[in-house]
Amino acid sequence: MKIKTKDLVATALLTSIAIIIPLFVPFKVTIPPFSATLASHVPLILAMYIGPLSAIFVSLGSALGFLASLGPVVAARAAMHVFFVAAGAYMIRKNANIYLTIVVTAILHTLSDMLIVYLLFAFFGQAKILNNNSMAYVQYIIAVGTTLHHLMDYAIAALIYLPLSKQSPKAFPPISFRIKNSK
Amino acid sequence: MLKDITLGQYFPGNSFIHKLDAMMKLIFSILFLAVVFMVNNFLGYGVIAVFTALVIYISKVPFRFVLKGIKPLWIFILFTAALNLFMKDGQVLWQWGALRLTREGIIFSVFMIFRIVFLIMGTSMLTYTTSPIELTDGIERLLTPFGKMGMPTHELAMMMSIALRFVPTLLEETDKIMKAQAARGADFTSGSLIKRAKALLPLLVPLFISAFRRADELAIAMESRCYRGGEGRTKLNPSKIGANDFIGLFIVMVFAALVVSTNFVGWQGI
Repeated sequence: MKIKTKDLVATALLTSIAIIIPLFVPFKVTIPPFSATLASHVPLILAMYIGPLSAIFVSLGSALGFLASLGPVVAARAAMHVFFVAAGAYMIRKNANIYLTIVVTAILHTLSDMLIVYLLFAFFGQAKILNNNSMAYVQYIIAVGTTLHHLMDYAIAALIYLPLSKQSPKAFPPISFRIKNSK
Repeated sequence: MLKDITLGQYFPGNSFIHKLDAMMKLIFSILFLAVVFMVNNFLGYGVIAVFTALVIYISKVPFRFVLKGIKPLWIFILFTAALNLFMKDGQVLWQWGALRLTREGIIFSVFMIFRIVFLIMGTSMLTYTTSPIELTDGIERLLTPFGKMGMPTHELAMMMSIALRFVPTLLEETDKIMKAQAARGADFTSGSLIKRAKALLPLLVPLFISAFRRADELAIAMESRCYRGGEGRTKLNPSKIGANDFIGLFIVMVFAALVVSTNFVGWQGI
């Protein structure tokens, strides 16, 4: 598997940004056990445009950042991003419709988050952390929260993508967000 | 505040810890993290504290420098502790409506503080005492078994070391952009969800643009020095595992056994 030097370095720098975002972004929504750091998925979404390996690597890097700032449960949720970024990168490579990519990645993201939270609470017996709430309620909070967070971060990533496509048109080819023009 | 984050920085030195093989240091760090997660009493944390203090002393990395790395994360640590303070059932010490402060909640919160502090200290000591080149080499050697399955181990290790190397640089850059935008009247901390998301854009756009500009320059610099990935690459000074590394492994194993054994003492479990 050969990786271009430019892609390698770009992936590394996106990983750096993914590590530091949880450290400096002041805006965090926390409804235990759900927490959301605004813009934390932006490097992952941009890495999807470089390739699947880059996207997976950046998502693991972001898990490292969350481990240092918000602890292992949030880090485990971040590590589960590998599934949605890999699928998203594959769809982008196959020139799938941008809106379809957003919807599919949002669904995968939400399902993986719900799964990991269920597994963590089921296997490690931390049911008391649910604070007298039922698992169904917690899963509902995670489903709604993750979907909104995903859509919001995709919107931020799209706004960053536009100037990036002007600076590096090869790495980030201009894409149209108009429904009739998109492939 | 961001300049205080020392995560990913290297502190040059010639100590016993600095001289250990990078791959072995990675294994020691993984073992250390596993031990920190396994411990369930304060006696275990006492042993971890003594061991960490000894490692810092031997490495000759100033203690102030290590503490500086934790300073910016105090808000998150205290937030996590506060969150856990009221979420544990047990002997009620204070109650206000549905909010109950229990003895077990206090113990658990202190536990969480110790856990996060030692996690940060343990991972920081690896980067403080290992240069980025050694770290890349260590990660690459650790990933060797996966290389046989077709995984680009050299490239993955190179990406990891560049990522860690650029953490302090990008933090500094973020600090500059934040100050510049604040001087122009940007407010990152108040307003509605949409307003805050919008406020982040003047920070994120320049950060990503400058990161990709750096990526372009770095890629050109690497290629002009004939960097062609891991295939056929040789090393001038290949790393070797020596006697010191085996001594280190023995010490870490004894430490891990000691900490795990405290779990069975039953002094102050959670």
